[in-house]
Amino acid sequence: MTSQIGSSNVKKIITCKMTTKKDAKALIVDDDSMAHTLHKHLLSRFGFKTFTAENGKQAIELFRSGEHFDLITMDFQMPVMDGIEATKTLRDMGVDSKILGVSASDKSAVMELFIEAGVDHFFTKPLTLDKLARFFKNI
Amino acid sequence: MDRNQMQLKIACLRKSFFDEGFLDEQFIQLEDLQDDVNPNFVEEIVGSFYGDSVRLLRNLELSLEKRPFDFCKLENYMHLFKSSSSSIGAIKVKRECTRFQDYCKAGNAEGCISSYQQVKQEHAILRRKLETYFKLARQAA
Repeated sequence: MTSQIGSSNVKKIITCKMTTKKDAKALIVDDDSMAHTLHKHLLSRFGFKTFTAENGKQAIELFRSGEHFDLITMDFQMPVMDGIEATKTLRDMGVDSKILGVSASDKSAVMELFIEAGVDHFFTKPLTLDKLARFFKNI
Repeated sequence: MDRNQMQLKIACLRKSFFDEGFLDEQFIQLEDLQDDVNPNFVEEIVGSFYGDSVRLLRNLELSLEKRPFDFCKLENYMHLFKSSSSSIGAIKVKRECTRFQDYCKAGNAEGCISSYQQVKQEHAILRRKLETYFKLARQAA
């Protein structure tokens, strides 16, 4: 994963099917600023250009304004609009982006709600390079 | 202290985080994201955690001062704090957060109060250790 360029240590982009096209975009939907920072770094390693939204409503407004994202990481618990409602609304709007449901809760009920809402996969937090690599390998 | 001794001290301190159960594999995942483009990534994200946690702990303290307890609100605040803690691999802190949440679900006010003190204690212990670690790492760089 690491390439040596002169004396520098710059980690290579991890290849993934979703980012073979240029300008693959990912939207991180989470009210936690730490999740923004962490998910940005993780997704950048796979070659995504990243954007953030603080809640489900902001995410929906972005799509309504004409934006499109190849991948969405959707947190479960958020103020204003939670991840379940946001996912359902996006799917009802015809949004076909890959959606990853994420939650700090490991309860199966949360996963079931997300799957019913229309996510492509669910992960308990924290997201890691390994989890994302597995997801991208299987799509 | 020469450079080699310093680096050995840093390595031992880092190892102790895992051996003593303060941090889990998630911390290693963060280190994996660090490179020349993001040379201070781990310290930044840990700093972000401690910055956010001041606010989250304050919300919890204020809620714990009110009677009767709003256990649902308390549990939600602790859910956020636990989520942040798990992002840096703070396993002992996370364990205490879970204990607090269990007391909330049981409607056990005394349990909530005592486990909140444990959360704060583990949070403070880890903070001191990490501050020492990053300070040494900066000196060695």
